[in-house]
Amino acid sequence: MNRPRVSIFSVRRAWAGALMIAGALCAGTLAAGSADPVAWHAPPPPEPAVVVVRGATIWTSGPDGQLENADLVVRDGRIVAVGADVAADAPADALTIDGRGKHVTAGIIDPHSHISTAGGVNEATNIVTAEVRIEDVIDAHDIAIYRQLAGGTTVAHIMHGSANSIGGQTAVIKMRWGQDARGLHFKAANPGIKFALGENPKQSNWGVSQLRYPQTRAGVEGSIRDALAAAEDLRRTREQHAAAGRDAIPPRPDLQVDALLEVLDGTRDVHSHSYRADEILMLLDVAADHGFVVKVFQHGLDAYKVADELAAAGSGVSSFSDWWAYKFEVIDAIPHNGAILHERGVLTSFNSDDDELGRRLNLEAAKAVRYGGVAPREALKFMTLNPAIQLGIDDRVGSLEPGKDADFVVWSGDPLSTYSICEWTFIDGRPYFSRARDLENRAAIAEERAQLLAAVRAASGSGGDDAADGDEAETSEAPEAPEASDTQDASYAAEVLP
Amino acid sequence: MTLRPKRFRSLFILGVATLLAVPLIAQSAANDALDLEQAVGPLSRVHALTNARVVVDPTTVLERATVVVRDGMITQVGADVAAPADAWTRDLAGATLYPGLIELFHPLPWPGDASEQATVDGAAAASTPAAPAGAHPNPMVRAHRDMAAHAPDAATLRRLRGAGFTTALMVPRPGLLRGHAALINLGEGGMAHNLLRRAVAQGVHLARRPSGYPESLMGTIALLRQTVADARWYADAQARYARRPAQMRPVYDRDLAALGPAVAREQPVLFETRDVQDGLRALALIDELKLDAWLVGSGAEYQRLDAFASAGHPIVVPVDFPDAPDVGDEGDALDVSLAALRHWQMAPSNPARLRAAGATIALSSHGLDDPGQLHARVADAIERGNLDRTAALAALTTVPAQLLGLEDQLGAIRVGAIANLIEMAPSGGDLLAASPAIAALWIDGQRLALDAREAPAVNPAGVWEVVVDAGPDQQIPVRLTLSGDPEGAMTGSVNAMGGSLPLNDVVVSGVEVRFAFDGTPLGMPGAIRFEGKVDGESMRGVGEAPPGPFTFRGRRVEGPPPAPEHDHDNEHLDHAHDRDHDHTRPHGRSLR
Repeated sequence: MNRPRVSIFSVRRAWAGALMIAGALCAGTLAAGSADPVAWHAPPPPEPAVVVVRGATIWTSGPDGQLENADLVVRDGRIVAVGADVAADAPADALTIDGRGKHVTAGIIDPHSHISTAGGVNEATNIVTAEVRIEDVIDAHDIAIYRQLAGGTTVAHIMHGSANSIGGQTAVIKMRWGQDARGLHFKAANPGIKFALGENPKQSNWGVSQLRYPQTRAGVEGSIRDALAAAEDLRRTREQHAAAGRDAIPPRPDLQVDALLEVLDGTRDVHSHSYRADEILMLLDVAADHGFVVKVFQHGLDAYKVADELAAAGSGVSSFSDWWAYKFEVIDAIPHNGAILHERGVLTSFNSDDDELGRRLNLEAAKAVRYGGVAPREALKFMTLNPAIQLGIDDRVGSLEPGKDADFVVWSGDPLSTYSICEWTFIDGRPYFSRARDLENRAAIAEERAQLLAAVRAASGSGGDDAADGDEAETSEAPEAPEASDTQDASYAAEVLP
Repeated sequence: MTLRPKRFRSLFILGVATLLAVPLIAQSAANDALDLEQAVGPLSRVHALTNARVVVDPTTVLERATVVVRDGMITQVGADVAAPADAWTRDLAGATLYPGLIELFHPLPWPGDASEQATVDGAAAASTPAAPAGAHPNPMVRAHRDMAAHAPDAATLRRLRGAGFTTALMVPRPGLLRGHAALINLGEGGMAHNLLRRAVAQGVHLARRPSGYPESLMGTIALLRQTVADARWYADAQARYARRPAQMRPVYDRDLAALGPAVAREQPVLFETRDVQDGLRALALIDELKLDAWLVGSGAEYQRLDAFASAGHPIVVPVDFPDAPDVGDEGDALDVSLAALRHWQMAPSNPARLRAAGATIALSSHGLDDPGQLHARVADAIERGNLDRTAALAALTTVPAQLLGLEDQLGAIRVGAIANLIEMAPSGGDLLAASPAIAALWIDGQRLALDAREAPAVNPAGVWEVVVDAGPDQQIPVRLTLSGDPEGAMTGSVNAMGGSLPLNDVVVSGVEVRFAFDGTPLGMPGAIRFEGKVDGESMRGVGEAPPGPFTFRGRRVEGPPPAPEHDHDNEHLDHAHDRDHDHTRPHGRSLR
């Protein structure tokens, strides 16, 4: 609140000329790119040097709490000021949004998502697949990115599925619609890995044709302990080789073990799919035995029963707001889980685990108010700052504070209201979504489509009448592997089983 | 049109007559073939192609020139070249010669897979097939395969030749690390005569298994990353073991061993991609794993042009542009995505856009139902896609030759090059037309005529007593056996010298039957071709052997099998099918 009022604009007057061009492009409130539904075809959004939102209600999710009639100032992709009258001397050519009557929040962070993955969410074959990497298969063309952007989601934690006790390495992306997979990757995030407990890895109800060790919950624990012990063994072998003298044959490389050693060293965070309290306690024990902390229990629908143990261990939970009774092992799930965990000092977030839910996560935050009476500002943090901390990106995103990335959302009203609409979504200070621009662009897309259809009809007079090959004709020799999120178990099993 | 010195006809007659008679006359036949060649001198294979318009390379054309081919090589090219005295002269007035086309990516199913799955104990052990010795534990890793060990079948050769290809890089499939690609000429005589270079590249494709690790794309990539690391470790381990044998020896792995050249960057990987993002993944992996690579594009590179151009890898670009989507009525149109419509519009410009961005591109028939569709699609790339004609021809000739490091041998009609040529029909001289009239290919100096195949009107299956008439008093009896379906694949054999030689390339077109066999066992390296007209139980026709032409006549002594019940409905459907797909030329252009 006592931020010095040194003008943040005076030092860069020399840039004014350069800004004229960008300013001209951004002069209208409709100026935003990325409104194309085809990623590779989407033009890059404008890159305004300065963005100003004036006179808004700003939910900072930071120490400043909620500010009324406040300004947000962004320069070169970073937040430089948040507060009353901080935009007084903004350059005339800044991209300016009239925030009166609007609410501004940090970009929403979905800490458990399976969007934008190509060629399967699960490597469901082996019980441990720590070597596979979601980062390798990010599908930057998935329309879910744009749809979620339109709901204010700016960051997603893309996870391997829950078919294995130790699944693949996770990836964190920013929803920079139009960029390729490398452009989406949020490099600042902590490396992560998916673990899973319970029915999904043990698969004991999948039928005899799918028999795989383990078939019990105890076996799931055993498989994790085995893998970690094997990793420690290989580490010792590698250390012994270093002293084995010239021309000794080194141990064979093992990328699975490399990932597990990062877990043991605390440089790769464990995000474990979990439901039952007994299994949560089991994994806390395994982690304690090996000297690491489980960063986040994903789902953790029984976690309210062991909230104190979780708080003591320093583990967070990323829960569903109000999903329950979709499988037997969640029979004790209650929608108050998040509120109870939060109250007992557990770092708590909500997540979507779902392409569609991921575009309205502001309302998931609101459910923490509805079920358990969490204060609205704290509830919003379930979708902003708390997942940022869980992903190790809270120094970059998750709250509206000077120095952080300018990832923010302008809402038509209170973000926890079902009547509010996402009007703008900014990432790195660039307007990746503008509702007005999206609506405006629909006519142009309809026109383009009509022209293309006319061209096809003209060409079809001489050409073939075969069906379209499509944009991404699949020529893989293997049949399409089943893809499923790890919560929709009925369809998941149906797709996997022949 | 053709003048053939009489001397060669008589030499051929002598050769065939002697060879076929040998087992009847003497038991010590084995050495007589050598004696024969000494007796009559080397079989001449000298040709002078005169008065032709010669497209020497994509930028050089000689309007009226002679090309001399001697023993499979181009020995003279020019306007002032006189036909050598020992040459067969072919007057090509009005016709055009092009360099033979080079296909840089033609995957073929690896025939060894069945045997690899075979078990030692028959059906009892069927569920637990024994892995071959030294095989990598994951069946997706089959880097040891060597395409030079397996000649392509006759149909593959015929289809590729029909498009004007004289040379192709054959890659085994399926798999992740698929094995060594072999560069071969598409002539007759089998792999031994046609292999140009083996282990040109290691095939890579991010394929998934239907079941078993890796069943996901990320699993496939993880397996590739691990296997490349393993291959580097394996080479290092072998070297360490050689220097210090007093330690446990590394376990033999034929597939890791076979990856040695690729991971040492002594051999490129030929990385097939299935869509634009797969291509970007390939680029990232090539960079991360420090490999030399040729990319096999998906056709959608234009969507991320800069990434592909700046990576600097040569790109083998397919021309399997999408057909126009079905937008017949409003309902159909609603099912077609904007992405599909844009791709339909943009795809033909992919080659030109890649070139303009600075990428080195070769064009490929990969992905087409039949390589014969190549020309129509290349014409599309030129007309709709604005591809420069010179560049299009270069992308099928000189560019692949340069990538292979064989620019002196392939891709141009120049002295010292392999005599791989396309001979256009006088009626149509433009190879880049949508439906070019290719009269013949020359491969290693041997002429292979092309012409259209018609729907079979006869069934020549059965056993034929054939008399080859190679001149006065030179009638040679041959027993011919043909079997199979004239509409599909036919096989057969010819009995000569007491042995049975398999026929390849058996084609029935109208009332004609054509077949060939390798003359090497008879002391005549190259194909001996027959082309006969079937009339009931008799057949007569002409043929060509390396030394010269002959005629033949024959009589069926067994068969054919009873004619199948004629199903008029099916016939109707079949003909309708042909009409609908006329642009794809269902029978292609076959060779005789």
